[in-house]
Amino acid sequence: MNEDFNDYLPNGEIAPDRWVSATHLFDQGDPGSAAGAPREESDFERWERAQARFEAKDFIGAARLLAAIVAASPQPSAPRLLLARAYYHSAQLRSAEEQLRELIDRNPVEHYAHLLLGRTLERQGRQEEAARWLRMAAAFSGGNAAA
Amino acid sequence: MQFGIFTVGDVTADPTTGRTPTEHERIKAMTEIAVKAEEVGLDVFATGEHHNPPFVPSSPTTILAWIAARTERIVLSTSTTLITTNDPVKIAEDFATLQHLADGRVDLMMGRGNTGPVYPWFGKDIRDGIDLAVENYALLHRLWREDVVDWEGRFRTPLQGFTATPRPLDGVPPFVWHGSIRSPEIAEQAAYYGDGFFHNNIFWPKEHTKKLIDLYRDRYEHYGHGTREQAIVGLGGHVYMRHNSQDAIREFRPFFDNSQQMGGGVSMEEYMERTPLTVGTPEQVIEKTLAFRDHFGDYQRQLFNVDGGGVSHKAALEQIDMLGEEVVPVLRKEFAKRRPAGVPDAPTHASLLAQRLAALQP
Repeated sequence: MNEDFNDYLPNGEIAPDRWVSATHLFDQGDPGSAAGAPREESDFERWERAQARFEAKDFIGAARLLAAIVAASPQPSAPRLLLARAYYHSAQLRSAEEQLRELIDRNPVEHYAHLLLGRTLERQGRQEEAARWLRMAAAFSGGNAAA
Repeated sequence: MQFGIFTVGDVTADPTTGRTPTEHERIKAMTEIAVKAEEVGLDVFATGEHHNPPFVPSSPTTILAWIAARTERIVLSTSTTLITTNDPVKIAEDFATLQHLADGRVDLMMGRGNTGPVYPWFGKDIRDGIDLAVENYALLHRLWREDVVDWEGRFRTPLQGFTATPRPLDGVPPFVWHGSIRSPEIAEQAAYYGDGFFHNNIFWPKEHTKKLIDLYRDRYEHYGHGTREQAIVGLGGHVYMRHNSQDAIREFRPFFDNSQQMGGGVSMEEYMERTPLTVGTPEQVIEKTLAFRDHFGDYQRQLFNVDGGGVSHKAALEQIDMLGEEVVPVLRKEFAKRRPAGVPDAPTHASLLAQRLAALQP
């Protein structure tokens, strides 16, 4: 069961993932027939919630959810990339770097991961390392490294 | 379209006199407000439910039954009935009994309640708020529709072969609205059951209201109850009127400033910009209420609060007079003009009974 049902953001607004989990409340039909069992959240719903948080700029909250999703299913690249971006936007740069390196290992020509890794290293003051990744990103995308 | 009054039965000092009404005075005042509302041609009277000072309506169906005996047309409703901390069996019994007494002039609005301490008084945990609202209503829904119920849930002891008495009048349960200000889950619940959705938006800006109502409409259609334009929506408002707007503002300002919910933050003028509160002339109330339709679509019920925050009983009755004589007749006409053909009215006992009989035809 989603433990955030009564969640509100500090400014009083509704926690973004509640808009998602609300629409799954009756997935198992009439709650009267559930015999008291708490509702299980599907992986897809969790992914939707993570995206909702990311879109609402709750990067820390999104990262928490995404870390669990990625740990449970390490293969797909979309959740891992979103996790890296969530880390990046919440200044968890070491963690972003770790995820991006893993992504690139699994997807050697994923240009955006290269680009973001370069940016992540730049933000950590590691300009020389960064440059290498940014060049590769440019090569894969056929565009300007500074783009 | 239905227009009416809602009260939460607060016992508040009048900041202009320093006097606090007694509980006896407030209970009597609430019933007079209801009778007055019918006199001036309003359609609905709704009472809140609270279990602590400074409020009096801890026994809503008692108050509503008294009013039912002294009225003939007005629909008796709630704003809200606590679906979280009440035993659904008791709600089923109390409101079915009221239905019989009032010859069907009853509906009710489910709410989670906004008072934290109530939960432990009734053996519940506020963190279970949404889960309680969902599970308890599922049981209530069945108690009214199934003559014999077996039930097992997280929050209530099990039932075996249980019959809630009396059975609903004519076999038609009271229509249910689900009230929420900020909970998408409640909008979803209303949509799932094809019930009404009430946004008591008196303290909340319209952008939030719109998103929640849109969710309810979309999901109402998703669950096959009709198109999103046919969903059943109600809105709350809060008014203080005088024929001269300066008088209204001058008179109400101390009540605004003194209000726990409203005062101490933005100015009254800005508050009125952002919420349905209207302090001014009947024309201003008409204009503002018509604008709700522009924001939220055609809707079926508009309730006004006139007695909250320590406003004198005399002033509250004057508000009802103005609503009945000057505001609501115009709103009825204007809303009717603008409503497309396919949009229904709020269900009543009569309309639900007719539907039921039609469905039983071979």
